[in-house]
Amino acid sequence: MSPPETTPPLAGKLPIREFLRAFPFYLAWDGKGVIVEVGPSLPKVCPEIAAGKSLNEVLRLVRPQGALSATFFAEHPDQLFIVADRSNDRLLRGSYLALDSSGVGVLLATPWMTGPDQITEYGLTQSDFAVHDQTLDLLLLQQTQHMAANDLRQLNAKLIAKREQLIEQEARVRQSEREARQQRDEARRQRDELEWIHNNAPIGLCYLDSELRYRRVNRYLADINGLPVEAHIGRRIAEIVPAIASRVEEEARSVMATRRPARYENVTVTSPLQPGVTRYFNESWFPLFDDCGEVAGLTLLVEEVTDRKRVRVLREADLRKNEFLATLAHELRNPLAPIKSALQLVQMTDSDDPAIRRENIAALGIAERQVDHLVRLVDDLLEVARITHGKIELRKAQTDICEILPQALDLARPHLEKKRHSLSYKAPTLPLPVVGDTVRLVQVFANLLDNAIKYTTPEGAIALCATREGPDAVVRVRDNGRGIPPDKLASIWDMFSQVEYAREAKGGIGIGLAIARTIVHLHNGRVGASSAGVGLGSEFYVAIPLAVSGVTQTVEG
Amino acid sequence: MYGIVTKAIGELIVSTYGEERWEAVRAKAGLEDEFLVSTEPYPDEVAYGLIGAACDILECPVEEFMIRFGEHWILQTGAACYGPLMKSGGATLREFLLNLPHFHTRVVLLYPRLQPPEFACSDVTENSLRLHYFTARPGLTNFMVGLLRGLSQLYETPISIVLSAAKAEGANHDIFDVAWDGPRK
Repeated sequence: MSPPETTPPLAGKLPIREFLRAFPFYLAWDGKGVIVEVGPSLPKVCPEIAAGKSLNEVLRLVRPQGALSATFFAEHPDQLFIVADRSNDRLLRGSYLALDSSGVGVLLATPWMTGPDQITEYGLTQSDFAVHDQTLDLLLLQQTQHMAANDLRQLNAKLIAKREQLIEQEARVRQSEREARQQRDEARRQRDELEWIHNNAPIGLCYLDSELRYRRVNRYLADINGLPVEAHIGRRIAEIVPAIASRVEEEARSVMATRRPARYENVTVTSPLQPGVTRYFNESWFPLFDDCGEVAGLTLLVEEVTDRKRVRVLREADLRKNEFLATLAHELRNPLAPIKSALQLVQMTDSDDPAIRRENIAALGIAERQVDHLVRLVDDLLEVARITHGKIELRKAQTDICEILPQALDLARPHLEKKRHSLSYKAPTLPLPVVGDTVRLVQVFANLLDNAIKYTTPEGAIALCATREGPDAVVRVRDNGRGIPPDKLASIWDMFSQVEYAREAKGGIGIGLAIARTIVHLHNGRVGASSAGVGLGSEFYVAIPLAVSGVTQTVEG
Repeated sequence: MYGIVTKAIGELIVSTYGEERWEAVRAKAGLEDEFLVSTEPYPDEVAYGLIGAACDILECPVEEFMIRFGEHWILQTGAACYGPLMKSGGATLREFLLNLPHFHTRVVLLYPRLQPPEFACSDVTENSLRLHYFTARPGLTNFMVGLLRGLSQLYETPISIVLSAAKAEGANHDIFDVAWDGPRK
C-alpha cells in the first residue's frame, strides 16, 4: 500500500512576485526567448538588458557550453549558469526557474564581482542586493584579505627595515668591538709599559689607600724598606717602617688634608738593610681622587739623593780645601817677608857697634818669632794630617775640667789682652771630673777661646763657664762678636770651613774648630754652636761625659 | 577589538601629531615593539590603553579624542580599509544608516571572534531616524558621535545628533536621534 499523496505545505502559497523580490537581478523571458521583465537592480549592471530584447541579443552563454535559448535553459534545470552581458562583458550567475508550461522562465541571477572596486564601478549599493545574497560577504571577505595582505606588506617592510637596521647595528657593534679591542690592546700595552717602569724605575713608588695601607709598592722602594713587595700589601706604614712611620704618616695626612702634592727634600732614612748608614731621599706626595673627587689615597715617589748629596759634600770640601790652600799660601808667605828683611838687615849691618848689634838682635828676634809662627802653622798642618788619617794619640787619664780651663785661659790670655777683650770666667763650684787627655782638652778650649777672641772686635766681651749638665761636664764659650749665619752653624765645624768674614781675619786657616770637634768626639763628647745671627755674637759648647770612678790611664790612637 | 581599531588610533595620531608623538604613545602604552595586525583580535585593554596614553601625552580630553577618532574612522580608516564597500553602504546618509545593521551582521560572519556593536533603526522618516547603539564596551558614546559626524561629512549632509538615551546614565543602550535636511546634491 502506497502512502496517501499529500499536498506540499507551501504549494500555492508563495506568490511569484514576492519570490522574485528576493532576486533583484532576475531576468525573465517567454517561450521564444524574448525578455519580458528584469529585476530592479539589473539595469545598473547591464543597462542594455531590457524587456522586448531577445536573450541572444543581449547575452552570451559562458557556462555551460551551448546555444543560448529558452529551450537550453529549460533542458538544464539544475545547472549553474554564467552569462555575460554582450555590451559590457559583465557576468551574471544564477539558476533557471521555469514559471509555467508555456516556456516562461527566469534566471535568478546576481552579478559576479571579483573585487570590491567593481561595486563602485557598477554603481551598486548594498540596497541593490537581497539581504541573503552572499556577494557582499564575498566582497567584504576580499576586502579583509586585502587588509591582511596590506598588513603583511607593512610587516614585511618593517621587518626588512629592521633587518637592515640590525645589519647596520651589527656592523657598528663589530666596528665598536674592533675599536674596543684596539683600545684594550693599547691600554694593555700602556699598562705593561707602566708596569715595567713601575717595577724597574730607579725610584721608589707606592700607592697607599686612605687608611695609609700599601696597595702597591715597587721593587725599588721594597728594597729600601728591606721587605719583599708582597709583604707590604695591605699593611700600614707603621708595620713596614716603624722607625720613620710617624713622620711619613704626618706627611701623608697633610697631603690628604690639603689635597695638594707636597715635596720633602733630603729626608734622612736609615734602611733596615744598612743599619748605621744614613741615606738621603727626596719624597714627593700626590693625592689620588676617586670619581666623586674625594681623596682615595696617595702616591709616594721616593728618589734617593745620597750620591748627589755626597758629591755636593765632596765639592764643598774640595772648594774649602782650595780656599784653605789659598789661605795657607798666604799664611806661609806672610812670615817670610819679615824674615827675609831681618836677614838682609843683619847681613848689611854686620858691626860691633852696640846700637847696630841691638838692632840686629831685634831683627833676628822678629825673624825668630816669624819662624815660630811658621812652625806653628806647619805643626797645625801635621795635626790636620794626623787627624785626617786617624793617627792622633790620646793619653787619657782622670782629670778635671776645673784644672783644664785655667790652662786654656793662660794660652789665650795674650791674645785676649791684645784685643782688650773683657773676660768673664765663672769657675765651677763642684769638680767636673772627666777621663781625657789634658793636653788635648786644653787645646780644645784654647781653640774655642782663640776663635771667640779672633772673631770679636776689640774691647769685646768673652765669657767662659763650665757646668754639670746631667751626665756631662759642659763648657760654654760665649762672645759678642760677629756671630754665625744660620746656614753655617752646622758646617762651621768642618775641616777648612770658615765663615766668609773669617777669611778676612788674620791668623787662621780654618782648622781649629775641626780639630777641636775631632778631639771631643774621641772623648765621646759632643760639640755645638748657636748664634742669634750675624753681628749678634756666638756661643760654642763642648760636652764631655763625666767620669764615673776608678778610671785607669790609657793611651788611644 | 581587532587590530584595525588600534591601527586607526595610530593613523589618527601620526597624521595629526606626527610619528614621534605616536611612538611616545606606544611606549607609554607598552606597545613600542608590537606590530598590530588589522585582522587579528586583541584584548580591549590594548585599545583603551592607547587611548589613555594618547590623551595623556597629547593633553587632549578623552571625550574630544573619541569624537575625533570616530570622524577619522569614517573618513580615513573606512576609506582606506573598506573603500568601495564603505561607499556602497548607501547612496545617502539615510540609506547608509539603514544598511548599518546589515553591515555589522556581515562583519560578525567574517570576524567570528569579534564582538561588534549592533545597530537598529526606528522611527525612520525621510529626514530623520532613531539609531539604537548596542555595545558591551563602555565609553564609546562619543566615538559614535564622531562616527555620525564623519558620515555627515562623507555624505555632505549636515545633521543634528541628540543623545536621547545613554547607557552611561542607566539606559539599556545609547539612542541617537539623528536628523538632516537632505543631501546637498
